[in-house]
Amino acid sequence: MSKRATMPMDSYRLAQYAVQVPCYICGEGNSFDGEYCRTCSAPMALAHQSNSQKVNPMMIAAIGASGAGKTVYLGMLMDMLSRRKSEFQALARGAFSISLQQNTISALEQCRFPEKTPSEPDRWNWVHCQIRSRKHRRTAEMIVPDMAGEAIMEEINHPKTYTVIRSLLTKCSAVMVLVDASQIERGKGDQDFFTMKLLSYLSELDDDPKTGWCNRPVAVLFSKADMNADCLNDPELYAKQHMRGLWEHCNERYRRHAFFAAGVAGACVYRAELGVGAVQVPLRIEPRGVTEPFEWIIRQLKF
Amino acid sequence: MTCRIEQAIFTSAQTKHGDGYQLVTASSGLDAKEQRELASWGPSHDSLLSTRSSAASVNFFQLSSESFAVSKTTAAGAEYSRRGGIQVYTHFLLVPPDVFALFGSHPFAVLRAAVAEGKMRRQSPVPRSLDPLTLAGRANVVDRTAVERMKKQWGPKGFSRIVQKVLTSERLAISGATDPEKLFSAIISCLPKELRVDFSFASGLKFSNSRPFRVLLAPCESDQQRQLARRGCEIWDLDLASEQNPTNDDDSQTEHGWARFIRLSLEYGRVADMTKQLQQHRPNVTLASLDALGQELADRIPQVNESSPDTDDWRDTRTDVSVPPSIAISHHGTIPSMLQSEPSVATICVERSLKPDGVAAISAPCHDPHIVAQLELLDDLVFDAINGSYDAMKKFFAEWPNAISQLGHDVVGESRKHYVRFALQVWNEREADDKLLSKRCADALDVLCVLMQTEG
Repeated sequence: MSKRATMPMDSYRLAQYAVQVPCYICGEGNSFDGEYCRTCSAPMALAHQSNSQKVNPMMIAAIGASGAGKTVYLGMLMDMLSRRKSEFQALARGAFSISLQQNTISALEQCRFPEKTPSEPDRWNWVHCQIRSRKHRRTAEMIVPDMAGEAIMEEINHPKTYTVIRSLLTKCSAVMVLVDASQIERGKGDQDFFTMKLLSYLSELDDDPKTGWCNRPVAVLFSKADMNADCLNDPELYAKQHMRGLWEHCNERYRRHAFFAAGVAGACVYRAELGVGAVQVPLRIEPRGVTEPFEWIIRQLKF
Repeated sequence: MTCRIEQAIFTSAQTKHGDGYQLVTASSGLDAKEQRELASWGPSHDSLLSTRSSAASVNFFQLSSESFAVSKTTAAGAEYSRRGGIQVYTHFLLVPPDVFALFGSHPFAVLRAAVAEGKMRRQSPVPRSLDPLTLAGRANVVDRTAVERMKKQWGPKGFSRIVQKVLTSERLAISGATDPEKLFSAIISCLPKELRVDFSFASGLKFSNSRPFRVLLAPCESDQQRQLARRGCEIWDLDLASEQNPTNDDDSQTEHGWARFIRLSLEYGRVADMTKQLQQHRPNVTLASLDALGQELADRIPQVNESSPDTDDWRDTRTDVSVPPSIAISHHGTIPSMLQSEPSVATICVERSLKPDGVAAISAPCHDPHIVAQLELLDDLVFDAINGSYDAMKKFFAEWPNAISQLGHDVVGESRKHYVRFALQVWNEREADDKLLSKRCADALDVLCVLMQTEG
């Protein structure tokens, strides 16, 4: 009987740390057991999943000012794609990918909107999902982060403040730019300027005439358009009439762009909460135009 | 001597640059790089550990420009966007290294001086521009009140274990702290001033990769603690420091030299000597050499208990010419004139020590440690009661009449004035159109009622 046994050396456990795992978003090296990238704070699960599947997921960004409705829109979009029968269906990869959908739908079920997205990138919700089409056999992997509007604004005003945003937008295959239609109705011109700044920033990130942003799909989405029939009926005409600067900018700089309008809450009111003050709450959930921008982008990407 | 300190405010607001959490305003001396760093470190929505309306955090870190950022983060009522949640308001003070040294290299001393000058009040609406602060005064390297309180709470051995844990951890989250600000102030006080810059801390913020503080408070929920641990942060329960903890019976083998120095100084009443050692200039000291330095200093401590250590040491510290006393000069004045004209003032040593929110306490005759302790207890009870502690409010209701009957109106009168001033300050900060009284204002009103009822 042999009394020998093979035991792994304890010090061998440290050898795993010698192999750096590149972050999927920024490409910087991290240890194999890191939860978030130490450079850009993106979840390392994205890198591990893409490595295991040997597929490079495409990234789609939903960007807009603070309060434009990115969290509600993305949460509702993921919920509709995962539950409802439509041309495209989304299957979540990893439990973390369900968080956005869960937070949004839970909040809406309780007759309130989800809370503000914090500015810190390690507190954002990321979605990694597989997109299936009824018409095609092949599938596509997709990553969509729910970013904070303040962080996007800070990055635009002071580039390289948020590495994750810069890296993501550089590598993105397409972008959905959310514009708050209710602010436009109130006559606030900030949305126009902010959106133009956003698009200018994008075009400067990658101005290559073939692979740059001038050739990537850009969907301009008017959010909170529930009470605005004009916007819902003809978003492009609405943009031409109310956001002329943006409309001109898109026509000049972006060959593949389209205007959309969407709404999630049918109507909103204000409710007084102790210690917090007046809080806006949805009276009902009535999604309209939620999946159209996404479907347009997927078709533009020739999926 | 007045010192110029730049300042900035980070909160959620609607400005011409955009909406949401941003650096809303800053004084002119801040350059673009510093502003960007502050924007990265600034805590945004839901960053405070506590959900109470009185939640607050004192934070400290160093910028790449070598200035030190001392900030206070508070919950500031409803946010403008009406999406629920509390607005998080952070007021940054950027302290140049030379000014920081004047305040004993102690972040809490800087903050106390600013609070005493009334410069840390939350401004609503936030002004479009800020002037740099000018702060007068200096401070000692050691916050004696905080150290004594931690010594009382944890014992010399327990507190030295806490200091050791902070020194030996890469990143530490402390759980079980009942008074985080006092704890952090005491810990900082026991570190060499040259090394304090290496110990960034936040006494009430959630951890984030954007804010890599070295020492912070752990969340109460166990799942969040596990998440924090996965991010490389060591979670440490203060109960482990307790002297009653049986696992701590014999740790003399692994005691860090500096922790041993702190322990022996506290055990044998050598806090004044410890303060003098901490005041000494040691430009070459490093974390690696601290163990040996601590052993050397600990070996020099005569292991004999002082007869009346606390008060005599305190007086020695205060009258030492080369070491200015712990004073932050308030614009309200220094020693009250009514005491200066009293014939018996010659035998009374009066020192004003300021609490983080400007509650000033006049210590009693310095030869009576019981009176000093009782007045300090009242200071803490008033501060904690107005900040929402139900237990502190109950104790204050019981202690205040006792203090009057035991000490007399003359001794507690000055303290009463400052308590009333502080409570009124909190009351006046309520929103003008706020129909629902905040809990903090209600607590301040309760304290005012007690103070007014028992006026002599």
